[in-house]
Amino acid sequence: MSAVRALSDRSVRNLCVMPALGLLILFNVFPLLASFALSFTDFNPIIDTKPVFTGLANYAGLLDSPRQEVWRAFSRTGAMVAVTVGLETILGFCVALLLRRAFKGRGLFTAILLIPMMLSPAVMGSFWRYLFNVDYGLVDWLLDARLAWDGSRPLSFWAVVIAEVWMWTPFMMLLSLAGLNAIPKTLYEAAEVDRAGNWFRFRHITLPLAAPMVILGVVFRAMDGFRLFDTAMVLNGNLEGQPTTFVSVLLHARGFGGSRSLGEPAALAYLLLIASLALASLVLRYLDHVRARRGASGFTGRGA
Amino acid sequence: MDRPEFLLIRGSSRSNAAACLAMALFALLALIGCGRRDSVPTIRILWAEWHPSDALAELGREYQAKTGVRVQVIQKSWDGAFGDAVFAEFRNRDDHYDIIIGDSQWLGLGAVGGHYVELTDWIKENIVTDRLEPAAMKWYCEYPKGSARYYAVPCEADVMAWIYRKDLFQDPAHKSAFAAFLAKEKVTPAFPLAPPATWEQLRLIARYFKQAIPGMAGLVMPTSRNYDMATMGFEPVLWSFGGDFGDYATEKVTIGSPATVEALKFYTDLLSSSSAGGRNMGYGEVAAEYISGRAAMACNFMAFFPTFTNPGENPDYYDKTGFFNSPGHQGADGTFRRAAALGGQGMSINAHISPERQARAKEFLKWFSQSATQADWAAKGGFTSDKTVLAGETFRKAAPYNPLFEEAFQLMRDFWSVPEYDDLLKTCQREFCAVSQDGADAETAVKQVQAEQEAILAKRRRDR
Repeated sequence: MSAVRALSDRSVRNLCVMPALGLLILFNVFPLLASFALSFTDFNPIIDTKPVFTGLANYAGLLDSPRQEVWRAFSRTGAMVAVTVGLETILGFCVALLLRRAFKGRGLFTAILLIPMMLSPAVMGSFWRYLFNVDYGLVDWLLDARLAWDGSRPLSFWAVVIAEVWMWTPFMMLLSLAGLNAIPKTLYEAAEVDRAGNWFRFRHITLPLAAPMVILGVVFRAMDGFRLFDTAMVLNGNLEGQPTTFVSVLLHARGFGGSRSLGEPAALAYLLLIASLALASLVLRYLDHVRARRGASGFTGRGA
Repeated sequence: MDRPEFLLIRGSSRSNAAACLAMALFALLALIGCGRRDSVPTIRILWAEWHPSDALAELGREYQAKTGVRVQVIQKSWDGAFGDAVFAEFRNRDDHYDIIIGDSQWLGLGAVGGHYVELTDWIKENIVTDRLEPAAMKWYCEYPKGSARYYAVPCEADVMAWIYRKDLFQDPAHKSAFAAFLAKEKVTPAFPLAPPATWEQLRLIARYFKQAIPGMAGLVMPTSRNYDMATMGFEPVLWSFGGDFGDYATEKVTIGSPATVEALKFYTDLLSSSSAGGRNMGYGEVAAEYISGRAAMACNFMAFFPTFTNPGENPDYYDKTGFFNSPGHQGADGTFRRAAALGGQGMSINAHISPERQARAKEFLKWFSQSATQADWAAKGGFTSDKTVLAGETFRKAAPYNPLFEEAFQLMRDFWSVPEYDDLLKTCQREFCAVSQDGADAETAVKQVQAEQEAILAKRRRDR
């Protein structure tokens, strides 16, 4: 007890932070640096060859891949992000508009809507795999059709879209709700006094003031979407050249397949990281631009 | 000096005590769980999730009853999980599994990487190899080919063959319509509507059914970009047309021949008689398409065939399905060639397990390779490499497709099994699919495969 008493708040804080920091360096920073180094080598751990430095060969090979396999995976991923994030944003915002109004059981209803987001993507993917099963799945039964939602069929892409939208719409709803609740009521009251219509109020008050939170959600989801892996893997497996071969799935197939060098998948991981960062940077710039424009017009959204 | 603020625990002492008790109980349960050790000696076998694994698990129960050693067959799905599990075991030098029943192409990787125990001397002393099909020993167990060094014993022998709708082929209306179709196409000599002997006959039959029955595919075959599917589907055409991947002994690549170009063009044309999604179809999808009644003929590995004769899995056509081996082709040189793509796996011992576990695994391999066990294995639905079992009436009558199997052994050929097989396979998959699915030029694609494969094997020689 006396030893504890002798420690200052600062020392105790450091004592608590250090192990976490150590673990972070060990499990996050070190692998990040190691994989970066690996991306410049030819190294196959299965046949235990020594890593050979190859310079930028892995990056060049990927960017100039025969039949543009890598670009195809990137464009597939881009399409997936655009479709899922778009749908999630529209649906999430609409649900948030409904939940904004006070009604009995709103808290319970909101909590229920959040359940999909709280599930593990692997567990959620397994549920959907059963639902999409061509022999005994609920989806085909409801549609009264025998549609194959997996493998190489184009529908496998849409199966992932449906599962992702179902899982992440609550997230967009939550952020939209936060944005909507932050809009001061006085603005609506002023608009009412000015006899502004519903569409005008939505277009000029609700939408611009909720936008920063919604855009923040879009940034998070777009970055998350670019590394989409678990749902696609559980729903459709580790398939190459298929509608669900997104960059992360391709990376896994290349990195954990038979005899390939680990250098190339490591380089692919860094290309994915660069693409995600570039996207995030673009959206954040736009967000700053929106904020600056609003600041210039003296419209802070913090109430009159 | 007081204790830092955040170290002070708030709340009633009763609730604190309850929380501590719950945590202690949780920790205790976790410790008990971690400490549990299985006293029964166990052999853990890693294999794919399919019929033969169920048969092996059944056989394993008999082994346990006899020896007291439990046999666990861990099944991983074909959609990538099986390969992932095997390669993770290799990469991490893990000892999760005692026996790995890996694909024939993985043999070089397991042998060169030091992941499979070399069984050459042990096989000489414990296995009667004369009783086994030489093709099985060569393709499933030997690495490098022709070296007489073995890393496995044959487990599931498998080969690609065809199934067809007997009810359609035997229908008199279709028979006469088919004769008229041949006359219209000016095909000479004409031939009856029956299992085809040549690839050209197969193409014409498929075209006939595609035209004659709306919504019906003439044929479906593995064509997917995934793993090895398109390459396996193309292999029988390639070899029949006189093309080849290369010389496996000298590692000389010969895929870039005019015969390969001709075969690839033929294969692409063949797929015009397939279903809407027939140019990108996996093994499971081929089976599903046939079972749904949307294909007159289907090509698949024989290990999938029990599905087609099972009334539970193929309720509409289980008794209307016939079988035939891959057809052949007479080349420009006048030689009639016929070949079939090899599937199946050998049974290897994980080199990373203890000598005690290796000895236990070897005992199981020895028991499994005995003729009596092989007969039992075949009776349960496995495909044996034991010549005496294959020639026996019991095996021939056990399933309608079994009589094909002995002939299929003489036709089977395989892809490269060098450690770089995956890189070699990926070039084939990419370029063959570019031609058959995206309409790329066959000659350019074949040249690309030749160039890339030569580079891969040249690098292999340099590394050695």
